[in-house]
Amino acid sequence: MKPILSIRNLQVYYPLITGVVKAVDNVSLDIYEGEVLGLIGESGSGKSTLGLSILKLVPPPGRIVNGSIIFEGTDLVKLPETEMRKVRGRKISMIFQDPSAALNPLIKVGEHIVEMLISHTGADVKKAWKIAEETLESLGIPKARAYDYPHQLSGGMKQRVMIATAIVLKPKLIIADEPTTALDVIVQDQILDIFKYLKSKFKLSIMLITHDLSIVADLADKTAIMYAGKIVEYGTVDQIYYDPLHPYTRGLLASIPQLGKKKELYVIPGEPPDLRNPPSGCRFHPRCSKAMDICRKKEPPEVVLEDGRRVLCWLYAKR
Amino acid sequence: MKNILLEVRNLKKYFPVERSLIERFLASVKGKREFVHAVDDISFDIIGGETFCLVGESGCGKTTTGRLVVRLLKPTSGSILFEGNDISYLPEKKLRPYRRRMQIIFQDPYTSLNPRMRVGKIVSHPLEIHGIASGKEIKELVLEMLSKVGLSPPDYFYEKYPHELSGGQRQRVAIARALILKPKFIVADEPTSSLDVSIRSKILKLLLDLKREYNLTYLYITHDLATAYYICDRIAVMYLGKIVELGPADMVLEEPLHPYTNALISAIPLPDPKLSKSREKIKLKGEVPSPINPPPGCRFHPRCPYATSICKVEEPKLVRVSGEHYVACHNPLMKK
Amino acid sequence: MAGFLDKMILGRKEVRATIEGKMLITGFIIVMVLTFLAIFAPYIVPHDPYKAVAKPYIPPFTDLSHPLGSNFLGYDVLSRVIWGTRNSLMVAALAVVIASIGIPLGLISGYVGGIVDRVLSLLMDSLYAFPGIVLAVAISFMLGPGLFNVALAIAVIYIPTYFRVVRAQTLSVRENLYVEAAKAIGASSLTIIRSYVAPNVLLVAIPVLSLNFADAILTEAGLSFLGVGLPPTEPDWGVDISGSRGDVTRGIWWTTMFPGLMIFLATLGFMLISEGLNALLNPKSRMRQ
Repeated sequence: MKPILSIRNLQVYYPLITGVVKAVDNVSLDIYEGEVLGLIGESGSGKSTLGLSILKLVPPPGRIVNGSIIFEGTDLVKLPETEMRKVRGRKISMIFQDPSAALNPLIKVGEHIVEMLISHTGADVKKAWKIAEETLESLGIPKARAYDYPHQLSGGMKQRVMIATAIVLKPKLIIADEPTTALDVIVQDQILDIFKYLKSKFKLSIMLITHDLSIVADLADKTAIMYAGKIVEYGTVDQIYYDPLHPYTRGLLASIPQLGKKKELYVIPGEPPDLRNPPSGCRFHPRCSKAMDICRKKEPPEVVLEDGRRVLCWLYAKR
Repeated sequence: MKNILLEVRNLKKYFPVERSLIERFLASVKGKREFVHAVDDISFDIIGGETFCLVGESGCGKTTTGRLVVRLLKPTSGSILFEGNDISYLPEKKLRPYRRRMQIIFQDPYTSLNPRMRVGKIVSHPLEIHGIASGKEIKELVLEMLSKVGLSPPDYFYEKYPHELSGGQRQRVAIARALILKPKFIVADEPTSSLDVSIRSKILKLLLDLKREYNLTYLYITHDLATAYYICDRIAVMYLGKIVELGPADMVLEEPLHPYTNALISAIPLPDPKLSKSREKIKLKGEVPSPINPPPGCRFHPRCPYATSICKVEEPKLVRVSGEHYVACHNPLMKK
Repeated sequence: MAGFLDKMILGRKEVRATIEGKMLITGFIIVMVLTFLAIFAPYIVPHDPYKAVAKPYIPPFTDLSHPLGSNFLGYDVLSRVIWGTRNSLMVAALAVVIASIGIPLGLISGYVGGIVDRVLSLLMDSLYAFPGIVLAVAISFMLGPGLFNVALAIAVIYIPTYFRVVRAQTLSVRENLYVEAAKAIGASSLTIIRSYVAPNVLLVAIPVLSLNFADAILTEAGLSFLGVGLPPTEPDWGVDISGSRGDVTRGIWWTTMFPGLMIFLATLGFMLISEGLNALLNPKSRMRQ
């Protein structure tokens, strides 16, 4: 099966006055049709930058320095801006964390969707509004609310409007950057259900970017763990959660409490690194309980295991 | 005989909705003023030495309750007894001695520290304000506390400004500041929510260690039931300004009696793919209504899958069901 | 405070490279030169600026002992211009010191709120509504000529600006969590204002200070030009331009040009500092690089 999106050796750097931040450092990733990929990372891991770079939305002074992003046979990195605009919203959409910030407070809620339709497909206004109403209804918002303004909607409803604008043109891939972080637990559950519905009904692929391991466990098929700009582990959700290989993944899983399970919490020592001056060799070595001499000196190679898993760690490399 | 450190009775806090003079005038002319019923008649005790959790979604009133209990807010009505003393309506001057015995740790370590003060001064300021120790003694006490919270070497951190520290380090400074007066009681308002995932367990463990060492009592406020399960002895679940269930953490979280608690637990994703996907989930419709006009009767009735006609008219009282487990519901779930 | 500014701003070479940094440094240099002139005027002036020392209307760059020429009364233009720096800067400095009463007023008003805030704001807003120069002329006229009076007149129109800027910042800082934290540890309102609010507010007043300086110099020159500022015998840029008003039509440009140039330079210097500081201390208002 061929992936719908292939990222190869992507490097995205931010040249700041105080140093160059290697936000995404040589990342390779595939997303397949109808699959949810959970991209897990903490702040500073580069996960948001990775999401933004797929749609070439990295804010200056950040830029894609190297690598390729192949989508439907085209390398998006090399695509000019005019062509890129046809991809955004139509072939690949993005949903952000705070729907209040993303919605224009002066425009009716339905109009956001109508604008999308008109600018991309040139549909006529009446038809566009009808589609907007139906899309909102399919996501649980009554048709009449399409004529409300954003401030009249609750947080969960606003996020549904965002999702509606993201799916109305039937894209192949949605990138969701922390879509439920600003929402309460019960609303989060409702939004995750929507994602499940979209995945099963439209065979939509979703890249779920988050720091929350639990929602990835619930929603995703595959998981990639990011640390300091690199993907340190990649595999199916079952593999990662029941048999984590990378010490960082293991540490993370052991450090989060779980309702209904009595456990001692593991504490990962140290602090996340300064990306202008990352540690030598393996970026995780200062915090790793299994660090060896070579981890301090040389960056680990990516090891591909028989079951298709990938790990960036000297523990699994064959010498 | 249990040592009850904090007694809260019929506590209410209403915030007026209008802001400007003109709005207030217009509202009083129209005959009704609107209020946000942030905390609406809650009562509970906190026993010395325990970790008592307040959980709920945003807008339930847990943060307001935390602020009320340390008197950063004044109650609209009701009472707060701390170590037997009624501090509910005391003026600021009379409250000062109590501030030595109760402290608060805030959620956001990025804004709870004065950006213009060095760490040493931030932690020593409470000592100066209350006239405890002076000169070299103060510095020694501060250095000792910095070590205790894991900021080592303390001399190095003493001179730093907050912006030179990471989120986890800043939160530890905030903890040091709260502990320097050796209080008996600490309100911890979501102390790990703003921190990176890999740091949270470190701070949680620190709070537990410090509790043992200094014999503290915690009111721990959180929206994360998993954390509450890990850290709490007793737990109160809040919804729209009211306590809907209260009891030992294990009991409430493993065998909930209130439909809301049940729905909350079921909505939490688990870091266990098979378990998460296979379990039975209760789906609540809609969202939390506005605290300005809460629904009549039981506030949860519009969304409750088990609501009956009495729920629409009569507010259920918090009653003991078994042992120390209380619930406010006309149709509580049966215990297994 | 200067030490902090130095270390935090000028010390970093990355900052020096930016436009704002260059503005700041240029302004600083200009102001330093002027201050030097003002302080050492008694030792630098080639002639007594209060006395006629030459034939009237000697053109500039012709006579080495009068490099900038002489004016209609035979006073040496260079000496007058240098001494004028002293007067201008002294008036401006005094005006800024008096006007800065607006800072503590803004702090208290913003923090305490309530009726105190409403009364003070009303007072300040009324003052602010007056056209500045008209008020300055009126006050100056009432008080009579003299250094202190001019400074007072200028100060009064600037107090509301300090008040507003500081009050607005105080309102914002007051809502910060660290102020609430200060209450929780038992700090009194006075302690909170002094240690938690003021240090986070005062930064915002610094660009206003510099702006005030620039404006004061300009206003003082204007008042003196109109005859309600310093007495006509004083070596002062505004006075000199006023006295030499008629010269230009006769082709005599240096008696007004050089005092005018000094006014321009002094104002420019302080404006550059104000703009540079403002941009550096409030990075959000900076343009994208």
